[in-house]
Amino acid sequence: MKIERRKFLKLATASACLGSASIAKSQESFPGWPNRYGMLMDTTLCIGANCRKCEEACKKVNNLPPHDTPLSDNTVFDQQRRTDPENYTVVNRFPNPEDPEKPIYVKRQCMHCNEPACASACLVKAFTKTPEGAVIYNKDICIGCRYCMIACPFNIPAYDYFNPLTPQVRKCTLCYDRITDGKIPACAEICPNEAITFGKRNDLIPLAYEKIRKHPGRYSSHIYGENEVGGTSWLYLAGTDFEKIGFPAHLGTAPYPSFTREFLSSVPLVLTIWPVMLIGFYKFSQHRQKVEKDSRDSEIGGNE
Amino acid sequence: MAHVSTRALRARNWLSDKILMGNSLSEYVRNHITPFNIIAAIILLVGLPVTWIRFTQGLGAATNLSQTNPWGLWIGVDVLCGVALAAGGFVIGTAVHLLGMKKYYPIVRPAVLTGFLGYFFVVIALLYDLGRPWRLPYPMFVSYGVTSVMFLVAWHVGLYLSVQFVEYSPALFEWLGLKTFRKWAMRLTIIATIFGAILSTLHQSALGAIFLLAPGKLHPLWYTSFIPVFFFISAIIAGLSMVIFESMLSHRIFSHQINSRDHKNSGNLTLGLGKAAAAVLFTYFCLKWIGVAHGHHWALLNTSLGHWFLLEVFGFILAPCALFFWATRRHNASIVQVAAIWTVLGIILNRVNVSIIAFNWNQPDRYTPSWMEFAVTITIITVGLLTFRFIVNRMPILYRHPEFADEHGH
Amino acid sequence: MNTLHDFMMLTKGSEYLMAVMAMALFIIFWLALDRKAKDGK
Repeated sequence: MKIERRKFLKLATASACLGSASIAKSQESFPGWPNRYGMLMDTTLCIGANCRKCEEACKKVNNLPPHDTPLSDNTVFDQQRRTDPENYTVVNRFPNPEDPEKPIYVKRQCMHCNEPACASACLVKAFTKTPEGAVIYNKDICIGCRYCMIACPFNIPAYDYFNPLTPQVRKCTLCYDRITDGKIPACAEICPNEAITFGKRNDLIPLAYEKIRKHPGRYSSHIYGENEVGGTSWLYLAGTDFEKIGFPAHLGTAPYPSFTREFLSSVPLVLTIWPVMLIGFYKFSQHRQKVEKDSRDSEIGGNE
Repeated sequence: MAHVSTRALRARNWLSDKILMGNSLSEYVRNHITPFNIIAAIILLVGLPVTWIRFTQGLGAATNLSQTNPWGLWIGVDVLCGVALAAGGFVIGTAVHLLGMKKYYPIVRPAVLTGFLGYFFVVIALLYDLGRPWRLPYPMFVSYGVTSVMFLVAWHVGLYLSVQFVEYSPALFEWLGLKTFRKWAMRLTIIATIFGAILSTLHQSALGAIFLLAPGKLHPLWYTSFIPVFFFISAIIAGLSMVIFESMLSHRIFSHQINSRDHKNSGNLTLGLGKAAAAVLFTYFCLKWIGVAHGHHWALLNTSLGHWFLLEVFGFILAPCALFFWATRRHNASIVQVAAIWTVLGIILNRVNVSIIAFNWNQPDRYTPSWMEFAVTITIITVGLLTFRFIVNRMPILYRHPEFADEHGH
Repeated sequence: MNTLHDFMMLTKGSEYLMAVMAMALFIIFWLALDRKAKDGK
C-alpha cells in the first residue's frame, strides 16, 4: 500500500508540473511545427548545364507539360526565368565573380516560408502551412484575386491567365503527396549530384553550418532562408553573395504577416468605438437643434 | 376586337409611365438619339465583344497582366479609384444625419446615389478581374481568411453595398409608391448612416492596408505604415470633390428638375463643400510629409520617382487645396468646381501611383494596360453614368416627391 | 542647435515637430479660410 501511494504522489506531482508547463507553453508564441521538413540546396553542387533533371522530374510528378526544347538546350540560361503555370521550378545561371569559367546555377521555387505571406494574404484561406512544412494550395476555394502574388516577396505564385473556367494559382507543393507517403520530393530524388538534401529543417540547419565550417573557402557564411522573412523551408548555401545570384537581398527577418497585424488589430477597436462616437455626434447634433428650436420658439412667443 | 385584360393594360401603362416617362416606345427611342447616347452606344458596342473575349478566353487574352504584375487597370482604377470616389455617400450622409448639417440635405440623395452606384459598379469590375468571379461570395459565406486585409475589404464592400441600398431605397420606394416600405427605409436611415460610416472607415483604410504586404514592391515614398490613414483621408477628399462635381453636372443636365430655391442655394453648398475640401486637403498634405519623415526617405525625393511624388503632393494636393482656399475666400463657386475636378484627378493619380506606377518600380518587367482593359473600364463607367441618368430621370433624387415633401421637414 | 539635433535623433522629434507645425499652420489656414474676403462676391 505504501509503495502505491508513493507512486501515486509521484505521478500526481509529475502531471501537475507537466500541466503547468503546458499552460506556460501555450502563452508563448508558436515556434512552428517542430518536425517540419526543409530542403537544403548547395548551389556549389548544381551542375545546371545539360541537366535540369529537377525541372523535368517536377513537371512529371505535377502532370505539367514537358519542356519545349531538350534538356541539353542550354540557351534557356541566357535569360533569367521565373516560375510560371507550367514550370514550378526553374534553374537560372549567374556569372561567378570568383571564377568566370564556372557559372553558378541556382534552382528557384516556392520557399515554403515558416510564416507565408501568401497564406496571410489569402482571403479564403486557400493556402495552408502544413505540419510537414509544405505550403499547399486549395484550388476548390480560390477565387482568383491574385493577392497572394502581390504578397509573395519571392514572386513565386503564377496564375493560369489563359484558362477561362478553371484557372489556378500554380507553385511548388514540396511534393506534399509524396512526403506524406514516405517518399522524398522529386527534385531532391533525381538530382544527380545530390545538390538538394531533404530532411527535417531543424536538422538541415546544423548540417549547413557544419558544411560551412568544414569548407570555409567554399561557402559564404550565410544560410539564405534561415531567418529571411521569419525563416523558410528552403535553405541555400552559396559560394558568393546571394544578392549576386538572384535572391532578393533586403527582405529582413520580419515575417510578412507582421506587416498587417497592426492594422488588423485596429479593426475591432474601430468597430467598438465608432458606433458610440457616432451616436454621440448624432445625439449632440439633435440636442443642439432642439436648443436652437426652443430658443427660436421662445423668441416667437416673446414677440406675440 | 382582341380583348386586352385590364391587368395587361395596367402593366403597359405602368411601363409607359414609369419606365418610358410617359412616352410611347417610338417617341422614347427617338428622344434618345442624342450625341451622348450615340457615343455611349459605340462604347458599349466595343465593350461587349471585349467582355466576351475576357470570359471565354481568360484574363490573359484581354489584359496585359503578367506573373510579375498580377494587378492592373481594373484593380488600380476601377476598384481603388471607384471606391475612393464613391465615398461621397458616407461623407454627406454623416455630415447631414449625424453631424446635423441640415443645409446639405438637398445633396444627400444624389451623393448617396453616386455612392451606391459607385460601389455597385466596383463589384461589376471585380467580376471582370477575379479569376473565378462566380466565387465572389466565397469570403463571405464559404471560407474565412481572417488574417487577410482583403477579407475585410470583401466583407465591408458587401455589407456597405447593402447599407447604401437602404439609404438610397426611400427614393426607389417613393417612385414605386410603396409607402410602407418607404416608411421603414426612412426609419433605418440613422442606423444605416452610422453603420455606413463605420464600414467606410474600415474599408477605405483597408484598401490602403492591402499594400502593407508588399514592402519590397511599393516604392518607399508611397509605402508607409500610415497608408491606411492616407487612403481614408483621401477618400473623404475624393467624396467631397465628387459631390461638388456631380452637383455641378446635375444642375446643368437636370436643371429642369431642380426647384429655384435649390438652384439658388447650390452655390452656397458648393462653397461650403469647397471649404471642407480645403481643410482636409491641407491636413492630407501635412500627413504626407510626416510619412516621409517617418521613413527617413528625404534623400529619395531627388530621384525620378521622387520627382513624381513631389508632383503628386504639390501639383495635386497642395495646388487644388490652394485653389479651394482662394475660391472660398472669393466666394467663387465656379473655381471651387474647377478645384474639385483637379482634386479628383489627384486622387486617381494617387491610386494609380500606388497600384501601378510606384508598384514594382524596381522590376524590369513593367505593366501598361491593354486597349481592352481601357475598353472595359470606359464601358463600366458609361453604364454607371447611364444608370445614374435612368434613376435621376425617374426617381426623386434631385427634387422632393410631392406626396412626401412635407415629411422631409424642409 | 545641438540639443535640437539630439532631440531629433533620440525621440524621432522631427515627426512631432512637423505635427505641431501642421497644427499651427492649420489653425492659421482655417482662420484665413473663414474670414470673409474684403471684396468678396
